[in-house]
Amino acid sequence: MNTSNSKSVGGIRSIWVQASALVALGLLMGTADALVRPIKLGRNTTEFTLPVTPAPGGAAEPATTGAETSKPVEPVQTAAETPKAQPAEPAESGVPTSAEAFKPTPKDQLPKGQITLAEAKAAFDAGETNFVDARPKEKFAEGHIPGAVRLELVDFQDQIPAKLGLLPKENLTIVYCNGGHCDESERVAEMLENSGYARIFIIHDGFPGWKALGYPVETGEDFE
Amino acid sequence: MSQSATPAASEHGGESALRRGDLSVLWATQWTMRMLLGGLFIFAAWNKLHPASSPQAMNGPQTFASSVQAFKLGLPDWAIRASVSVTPWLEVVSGLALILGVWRRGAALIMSVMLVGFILLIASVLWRNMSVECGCFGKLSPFCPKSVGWCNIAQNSVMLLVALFLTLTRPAPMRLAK
Repeated sequence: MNTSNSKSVGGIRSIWVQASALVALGLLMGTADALVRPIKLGRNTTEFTLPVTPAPGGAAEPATTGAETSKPVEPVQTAAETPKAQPAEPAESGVPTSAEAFKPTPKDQLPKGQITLAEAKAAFDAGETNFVDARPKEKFAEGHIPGAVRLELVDFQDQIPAKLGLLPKENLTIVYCNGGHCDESERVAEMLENSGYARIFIIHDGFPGWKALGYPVETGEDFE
Repeated sequence: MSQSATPAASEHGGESALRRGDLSVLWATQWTMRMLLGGLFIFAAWNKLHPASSPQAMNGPQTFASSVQAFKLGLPDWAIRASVSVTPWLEVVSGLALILGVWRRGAALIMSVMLVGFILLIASVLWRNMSVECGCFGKLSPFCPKSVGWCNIAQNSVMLLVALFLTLTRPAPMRLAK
């Protein structure tokens, strides 16, 4: 019995020794790989600026200059973004309206490379902005930002999507999906950056926030 | 721990042909599980490690880094880089060890620990109601939809059972029933 107990202990010990040796080998190879091929985390992000539209009859100012020469955006709190300021419709069922229930995320809480709904709306009004919808086609058809082009991560699978021809690279590019923890917009934004787009931002609150604030929406399927 | 072809009669003495048949079935079962599990791990690692063929390609270390970041675990950058670099190589090392039959119980133990970690990560994504692409096999999703969900938990649970079986059972000698 002592022999069998000692065999069991020895067996367990040998499993741990084997596992430790293999882990050490994996760590060594992983470290070497990391030194040879450093990983880039995240996208190259810059300060959000609105595209500068050319003055009538005057010389056009370039829209892709850096933050020092372009006009920085001041977050504009419109009445639509202040839920309390907007009169709420009496809810017969006691359920608040979407404008009442929705609170846009303030700018100081946004991760790098993401913008508020106010900034996105300002860009929409300014024009010369590419809007990219990263959601599935069914969601797109139910409603999307007018003029948005639908692009999913799978569209970039080993190819350059033909739809990129609709998105001038010199324009500001804004990507959105369902907001919150939605990951698709970040992935599509990375693919756009790899495809040569420089100024890419993501609407943090996504399309649900855009719609909740009563901003323009159009329906209809995307062309494939 | 090598695979012995010598009969187990010296250990058990006077064993029946039926028992010898059981042992060969156990060996065949272990062998099949080793090949499948080891092969899956190496396949997953290859998709994470081999360079992307173009910036738009969805394989490669950079894509795996994006997948890890998408889980939003609040890890510092150095920890993300470490996990992106080390995880695929652990998969390679343990997968090869399992297939070659070298230190296979240790390799199966590593796989078990990794699979428990993967299951917990996926569960955290579901708990937080997130929409994340796994990236476990690069651009391929051979068994489950691309977006992480219960299918991935089931898939990893099956693999975990296999890995635990290989960890806890001694390598069976290969014997043909007479």
